[in-house]
Amino acid sequence: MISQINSMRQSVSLSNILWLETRNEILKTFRMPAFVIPSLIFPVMFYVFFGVLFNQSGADGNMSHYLIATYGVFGIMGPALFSFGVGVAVEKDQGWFAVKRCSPMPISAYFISRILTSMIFGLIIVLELFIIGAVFGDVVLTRSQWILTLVSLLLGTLPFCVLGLWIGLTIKGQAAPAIVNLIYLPMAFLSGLWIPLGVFPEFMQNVAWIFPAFHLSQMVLSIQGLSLGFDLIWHLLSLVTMSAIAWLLAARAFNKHA
Amino acid sequence: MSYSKIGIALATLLVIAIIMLLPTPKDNKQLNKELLTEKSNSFRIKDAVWFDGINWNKHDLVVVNGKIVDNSADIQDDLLTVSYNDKFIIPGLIDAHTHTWGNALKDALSFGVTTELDMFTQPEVLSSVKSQRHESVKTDQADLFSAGVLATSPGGHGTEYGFDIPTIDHPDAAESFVKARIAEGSDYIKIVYHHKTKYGPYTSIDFATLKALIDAAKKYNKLAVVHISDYQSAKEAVQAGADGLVHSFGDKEVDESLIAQMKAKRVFIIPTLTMLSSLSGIKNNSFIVEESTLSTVVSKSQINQLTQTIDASFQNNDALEIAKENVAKMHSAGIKILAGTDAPNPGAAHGISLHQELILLTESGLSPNEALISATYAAHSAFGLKNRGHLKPGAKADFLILNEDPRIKISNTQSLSLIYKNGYAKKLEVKKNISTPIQGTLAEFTKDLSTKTKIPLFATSDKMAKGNSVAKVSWSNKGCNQSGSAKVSGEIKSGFPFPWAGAMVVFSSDMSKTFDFKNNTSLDFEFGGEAGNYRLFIFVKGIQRPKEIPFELPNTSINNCKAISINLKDYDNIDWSSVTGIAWVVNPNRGKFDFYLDDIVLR
Amino acid sequence: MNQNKTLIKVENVSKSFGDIKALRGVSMSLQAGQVIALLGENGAGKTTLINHLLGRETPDSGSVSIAGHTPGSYPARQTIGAVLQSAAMPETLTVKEHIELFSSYYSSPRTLTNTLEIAGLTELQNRKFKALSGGQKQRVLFAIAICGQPPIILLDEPTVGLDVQSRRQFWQCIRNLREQGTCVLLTTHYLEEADALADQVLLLNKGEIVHQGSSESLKQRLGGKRIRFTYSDPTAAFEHLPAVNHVMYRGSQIELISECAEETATALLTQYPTLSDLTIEQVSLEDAFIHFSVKDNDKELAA
Repeated sequence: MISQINSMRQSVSLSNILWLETRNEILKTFRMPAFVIPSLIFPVMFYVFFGVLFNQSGADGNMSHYLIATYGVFGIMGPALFSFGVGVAVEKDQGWFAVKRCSPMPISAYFISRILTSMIFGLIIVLELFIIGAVFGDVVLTRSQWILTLVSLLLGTLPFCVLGLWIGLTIKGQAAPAIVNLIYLPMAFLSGLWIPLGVFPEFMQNVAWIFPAFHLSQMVLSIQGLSLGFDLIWHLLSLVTMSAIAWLLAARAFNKHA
Repeated sequence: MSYSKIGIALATLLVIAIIMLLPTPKDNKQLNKELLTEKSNSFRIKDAVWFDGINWNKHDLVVVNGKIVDNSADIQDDLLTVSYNDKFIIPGLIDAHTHTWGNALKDALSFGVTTELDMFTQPEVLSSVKSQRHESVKTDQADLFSAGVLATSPGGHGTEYGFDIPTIDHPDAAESFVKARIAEGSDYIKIVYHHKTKYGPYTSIDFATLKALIDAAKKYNKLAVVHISDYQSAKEAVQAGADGLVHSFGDKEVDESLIAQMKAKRVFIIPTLTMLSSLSGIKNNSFIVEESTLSTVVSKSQINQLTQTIDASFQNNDALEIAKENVAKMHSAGIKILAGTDAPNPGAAHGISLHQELILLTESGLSPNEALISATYAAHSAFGLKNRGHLKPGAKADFLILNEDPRIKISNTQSLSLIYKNGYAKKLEVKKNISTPIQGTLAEFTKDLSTKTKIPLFATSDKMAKGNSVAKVSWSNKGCNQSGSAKVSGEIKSGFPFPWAGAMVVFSSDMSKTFDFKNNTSLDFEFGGEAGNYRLFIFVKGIQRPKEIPFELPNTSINNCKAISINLKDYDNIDWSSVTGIAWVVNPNRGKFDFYLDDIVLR
Repeated sequence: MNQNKTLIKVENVSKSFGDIKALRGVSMSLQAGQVIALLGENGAGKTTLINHLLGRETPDSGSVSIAGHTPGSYPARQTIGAVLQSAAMPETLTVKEHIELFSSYYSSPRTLTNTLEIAGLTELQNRKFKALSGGQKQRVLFAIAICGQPPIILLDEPTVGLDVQSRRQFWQCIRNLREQGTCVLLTTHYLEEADALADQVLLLNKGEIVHQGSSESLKQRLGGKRIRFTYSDPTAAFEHLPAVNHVMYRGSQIELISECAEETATALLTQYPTLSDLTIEQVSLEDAFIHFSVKDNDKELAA
């Protein structure tokens, strides 16, 4: 028994934990069609409606280009907010979060696996958008623009993971889907993800500055030169600040549950 | 776990493959239906409005295997159907006077010239591309017909280009000369003739040799066309029996007797007014319609080509005007006029210049429709071009899709949207638009509202966004400096969240063109009106909402304008390198207003 | 193996939540190889004590140590496997997937086969969690607690809500584990469960340990069954029956407390064949707690 206890000092394989944690997270999520199908289809469906079918005017004929960036943001936001916001809230209420916390699971594995799963989800959605945009929306970008758009969207999941985590640790599991939707959908609309901000009245354009989705969308749009033209550093700073605040709030909520 | 690893590897490969397959500006893998005709040369254009070279039609235009087919004939139903609603289809243009060097045929096609009639090139060029005109394959080159080597005297025009060509100086040599040309593949015989055997730096064959050459050509069933540059030579060429004249002349007005002879002998003329324009010292680049699609295809080197002129020492300055009058007279007498440019001589470039020639022809009394005929059916009939220039069953499916009606304005040929060659669609190769630097006066409003951008100052208000504000711009002979100014009046009414009203200058009607203000330091203008705050709207390419620059007008009488200077460096958040327009507007809290705007200068 | 190694040491721990005193000066220790049952009513402080061992609560006073480590610290978590009350696992994962993940957390986990065997899940390893019965679900929670081969297993009311058969299957799992030398601390409010599994019983009442000893000793102090029946003759007396500790008469309703229900019942049915409505049931813990509390109060009075 002593030797056993001492042998616990041996290091476990972190990469193996991360792999299994992520595998389980992905399997868990993808076995819930009620969540998977809407998440994968809605952004693309909206894009087909607004970016392809009704793309008659606006944005100098750049609508399908503009919307590929903004629906990309819309697409990656969903899995991040839901995985952390709803997923954590539900597991916390079910006691599962406590079980994991009592086991020798490295807490980082829990979060990293969720982040990776959100990113894989986001990747699928963004690729769907790319294909639809390229085939039906005549979207043509340089290779580096395509890649940069994809990479910045994937990195852009991080602020929403943190925001989702704070929500998930704060609210009740049952209320979580409703509350996350209540944040997700209005934020998407008011950040100009569905229709360009330019058609909004000015005060609403100013309101957009409080949303991380707005800042991310502006950064992604700037890859194609379709942003409103503010210096990128402001968007980046805003995103970092918002993420930091959400992180502090999440850490406080986390310690309450520890 | 090994299965998982294989799965992850495959998924990663899939992601990379998708990214690599996404379209980039270089490849055009778009599945637009119209563009399927880039790959197939059999299709039906539904309810097309099209000109066949003689008449305008409005029914289906059917193409099978790159050839026009009678639309009433039995055609398979599964034919790809496309439609070009609100577009205008004309036959591919024929430039009846060119010289083929380098990228000539590629350049020609990219501006909608699908056939070039060459008037002198090296026989090797001819043999290498001649076969294409019989084929229906996908190509990026125009078809070529050619005279091959021209007939000129030793030391005559045509010998000055630095390579040896056979020459002729005696009537006895005429038949063998013509036979040699036919053997080389010449489609017709082109002869250089001047009524003086010595003129300027050149010599010329004599009349007897001219006549012998023409007779020999006729004997072998070839057309004989003659290069002339003055009235007397033209007259003698016609007397000698020429089938056509490949230039016009500007030294003398044409008289009744020459017209009568030309008419009697059915002599056609290719006036090449583009060349006479160049000879008159005119830079031939101003005909390009700023906002036309064609203007986006012109390269910098082509512009340079157009702005060159020919040394005009042996021409009078009226040459172009006289030549135009001569064309007008010949045309009204019923003489066949063919459009030709003489590209790539200085002032003309392959393809693009034919659009100028058509404008020059309408300035010489041809209607837009007749100008179209000069570049299509006239060439078809004059040169006996069986399957081109006239879109009838059996003809090559060489035609152009235009956005605007060329019958209204011949310059609408520049609204080219798609080129069909051998039934294959070819998109315009848009050259990357670079911002044009601009410096100096943008508008003075001395006698009207016109500006340097060719689009006059116009009123703008939130009415276009369904607001209620109104604005009106008018020219005023008073105001500002007593030499005319723009008067802007209107009223801000609520109904739009951020109301505006004022006047605007744009650099192209669809705001696609950008100008580069990077090298400018300030935007200065005279401004008069009620004291208070106003705003400048700067429209930048790719950004929907304009940038605002506020400025203040101090107390002053309304007719006494103040000079306002905006220091561009103060607004470094604006991308001054791609400005598409500027507007002067009043503040949202203003009601009714009047203001004067004048002397807009970029320094 | 050093059987005397103290794995859990709780010294004089007190904890209050507001006005409620959840633990009052609790001390206990657990040596390697022991199975201890922590008995108590709902609200007696069992879960609070477990939470202290897991580091989910910190004591107001006193100290807790897990093999010398602070509860909740990484080495402490490597040392303990726990089945918590009312935990639900993600439903769409299979038994095997859950166990594989949890095994990866530990430095020397059991093999998957071994874990499945101990938890009796071999046949069910490819079932999704949602397709399992309540007892099976509980065994999966048990499996992920033991898969890392931790020296200590904490089971917080592991069989609550299970039917008899499921409970017996679960007990078998714990016995399997004991055979392998793991020490187990389980909380329960079933005396029967403590009796079936535990070497040592701790009885917790209102945050205090009121009894500590072998299950035998507790059984003796608390033990017995309640025998109820209806007998029409009001003059009949039952004190003389074998193993009877106590008799209560409520009209025709008779209630006996017996140390050995079988013996008493046999005699009862032989001597009073006309009785009816016979039921035999466990003496409730409540009765026992009242018993101990009264004694405590007496002690206090005496002191």
